[in-house]
Amino acid sequence: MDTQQNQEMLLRVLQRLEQNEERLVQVSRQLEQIVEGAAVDKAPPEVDTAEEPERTSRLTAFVTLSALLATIVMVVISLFQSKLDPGEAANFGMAAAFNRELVQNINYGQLYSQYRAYTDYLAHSELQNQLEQTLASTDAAAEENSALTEELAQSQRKAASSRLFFSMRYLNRDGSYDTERQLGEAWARAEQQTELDPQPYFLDADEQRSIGMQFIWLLLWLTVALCVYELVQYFNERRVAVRGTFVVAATLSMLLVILGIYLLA
Amino acid sequence: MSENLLNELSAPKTAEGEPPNGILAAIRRFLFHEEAEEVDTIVWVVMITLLIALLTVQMEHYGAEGGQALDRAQQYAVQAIGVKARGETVAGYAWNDAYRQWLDWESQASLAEQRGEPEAAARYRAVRDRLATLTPLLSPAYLDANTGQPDLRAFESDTYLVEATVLQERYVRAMQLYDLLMTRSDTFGLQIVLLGIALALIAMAPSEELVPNRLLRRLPILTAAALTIFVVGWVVQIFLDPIPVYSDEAVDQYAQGVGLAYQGDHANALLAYDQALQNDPDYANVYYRRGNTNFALGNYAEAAADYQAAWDAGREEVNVLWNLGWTQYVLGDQPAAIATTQEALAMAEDQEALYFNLGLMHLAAGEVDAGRQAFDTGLEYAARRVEEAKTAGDQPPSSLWSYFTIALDDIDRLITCLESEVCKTTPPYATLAVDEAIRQAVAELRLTLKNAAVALEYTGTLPGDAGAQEIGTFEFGTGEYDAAGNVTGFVALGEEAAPLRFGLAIEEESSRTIDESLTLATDTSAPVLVRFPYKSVQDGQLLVLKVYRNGTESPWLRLVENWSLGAAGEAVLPLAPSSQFALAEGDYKLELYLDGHLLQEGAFQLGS
Repeated sequence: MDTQQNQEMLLRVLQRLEQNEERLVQVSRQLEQIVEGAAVDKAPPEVDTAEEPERTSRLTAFVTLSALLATIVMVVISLFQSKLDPGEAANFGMAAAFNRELVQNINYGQLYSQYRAYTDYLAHSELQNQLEQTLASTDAAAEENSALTEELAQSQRKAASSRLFFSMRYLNRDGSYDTERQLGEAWARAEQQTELDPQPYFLDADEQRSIGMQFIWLLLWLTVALCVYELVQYFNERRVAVRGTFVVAATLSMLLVILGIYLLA
Repeated sequence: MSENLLNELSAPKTAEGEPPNGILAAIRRFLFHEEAEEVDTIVWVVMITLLIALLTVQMEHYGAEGGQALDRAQQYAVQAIGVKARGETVAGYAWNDAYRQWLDWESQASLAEQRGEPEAAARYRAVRDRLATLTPLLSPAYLDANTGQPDLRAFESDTYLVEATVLQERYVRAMQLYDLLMTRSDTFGLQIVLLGIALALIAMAPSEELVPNRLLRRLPILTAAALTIFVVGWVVQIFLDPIPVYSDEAVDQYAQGVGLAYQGDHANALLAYDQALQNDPDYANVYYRRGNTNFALGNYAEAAADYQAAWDAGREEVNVLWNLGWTQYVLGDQPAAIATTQEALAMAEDQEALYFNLGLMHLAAGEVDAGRQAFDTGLEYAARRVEEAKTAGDQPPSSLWSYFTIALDDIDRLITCLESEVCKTTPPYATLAVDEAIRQAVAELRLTLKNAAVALEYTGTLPGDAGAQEIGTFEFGTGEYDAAGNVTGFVALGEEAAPLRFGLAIEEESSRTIDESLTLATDTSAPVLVRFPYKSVQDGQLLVLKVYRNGTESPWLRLVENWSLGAAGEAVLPLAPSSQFALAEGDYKLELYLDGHLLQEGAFQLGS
């Protein structure tokens, strides 16, 4: 395709665009007539009477007051929103989360330092049991018995010294060590002194963020209402019905926003 | 739509005074007063105001989401640290206390059996079995009944490693999300500022009385319109770029893979990583870990592709390039390896280990001078690091000595490959530039690196010129002793000598791995000695004797002291640190340094 063909095609496209533009203008004029007709049908008769300026003046006054009210409501929303502080709640949550891990780690450290002593105790205690059984059942020579008795005495001493380094209150009747109970009690003690559950704080932070977002949406809604009030003042004074509809919609929106504030606050 | 509106609203009335045509013009005529300019202005103000309000909502929305992401990230971080710390405590107890005692009682039982006391052995084994109830590590799930060794890595993996990895990954991803959301929120903030400027421009538009020229009068409004259209385009672009949704399932599979790789189960780790990538094809950490696993399995081409994919997916870290460069070296693609390592050096220019790698790559490519230069630069950085540490009153980082050890291992493997064509973790022999100059350069660099490592560690500087001292060939053997314990004779290994005995108990290291290089000596153990002649040595010179077992240095066997045996003679030195210990079976190699110069090497074997 050469340049001349391109130019011809471009010209044809432009001509079509012009034709379309003319058609569009015709349609828009028809639309204008329809809209004006509808307005004439539905709106109060637009006749030059003495009531018209007075009605317009009342509407303008109402719009101005409503805009003022919308502004005040916006200020109120901003005040409510400024009272929200999800960051503070999250900080408390983080402190609790940190405490939680710290306490757990300390408890584990303490538990296992005692559990090491218990391990020694258990070994020597078990050896003691084994030796006692052997001594009770054996008919060995006195020399051998003496060696076993010496070993028994040694294991008794070692078990006794190990016993000093862990808390006997966590020993069960069968000689096992209740690690869960020790951890649980240590947790309970720590819980009385510091906050260890971060979730309520994080949930609170999320809740505050959510409320904050809803306030922002209300602000957006009010901004739309304000814009409508602003636009309405530039509307053609003859379009009373249209102006009225916009004003009513904006006012209803504002009332809904006030209801929203009441519900949120 | 905006442009049409702009055209409609800013178009001047026709010369004949006819109003402009079109739907918008018709609506405007229907709704508004006739004062076109005032209407134009107010419509723009309303539009921009609404846009600002919408952007404010978006800014707050992303800010709130970002805040939540940060909360989650911080929780994950704290939890990950806690889980790991507690896991280390539990694993430490299980290994260092419960298992150590278990071994101790088992040793007592074995000794009792050897003494012919089966009843005593049974008692000790009963104690051992009772101890086995204290930790899952000693349960059949982890304890191999045949070898008597527990699978600690599996225990650690199950106890905390996988869980900690999940939390760590969630932290990383939550932080990424936070960063993304806050960037978006900040961008909306910036756009609001721009729209505020647009409003200010509209407010600045002069009246008809001040500026009669219509175009000049409307210039601020047109500028504001252009700014608004720009912001709208920007907003659209932001919304076309979606916020990534991270898959928790992929994170879980990734953590499983990490746990399996930790246990050495690379084949199943690979499967886990593959599944993770199916759920999240842009998961950079999975590519990186899969690269490591593929490397461990010897799948070097796949490993290189994974490292590249990790980089492309956003893990733009020096270690990715480090591993990629090394993998390319092993694959024999030296130009790519050199380019990648240089790229890594651009990110970490003082990383001596990267210079050592680069030097090896140049040598493998036959570029001797470039190889030497890279090693020299690496050594300069190492010396600088040691000097800085000394100046600050600190010790040089231990990682420095590890880098030297690794580089020397790499050089040794390259030498083996060049000499024997047995190439393990080196470039394939066929890809190497093999000639005498390369062989000589590699051998020289090996010596340089060894000397530098010892000199830097003990003197803090690179070694100076070698002195005139000479150390003769090593002989290894056992001693003959008099009643006072003095060595009176020397019996070379292999000859009929006092039998070498190995202890029963096993020593373990704090890193919770069993190290078998030293055993407890028995009463009849004969310590291994090294004997060598020497001359022109001065008292006070720094002697360093390094002992390697099965290719790895045993630092606890390293002898470091000032020479005090006189200028010439024959020295006999024990290899074990004390009579309590004996050397375990294995292939041994010795290196002797004086003032940071390697003067003699030798090797011997113990056991079968």
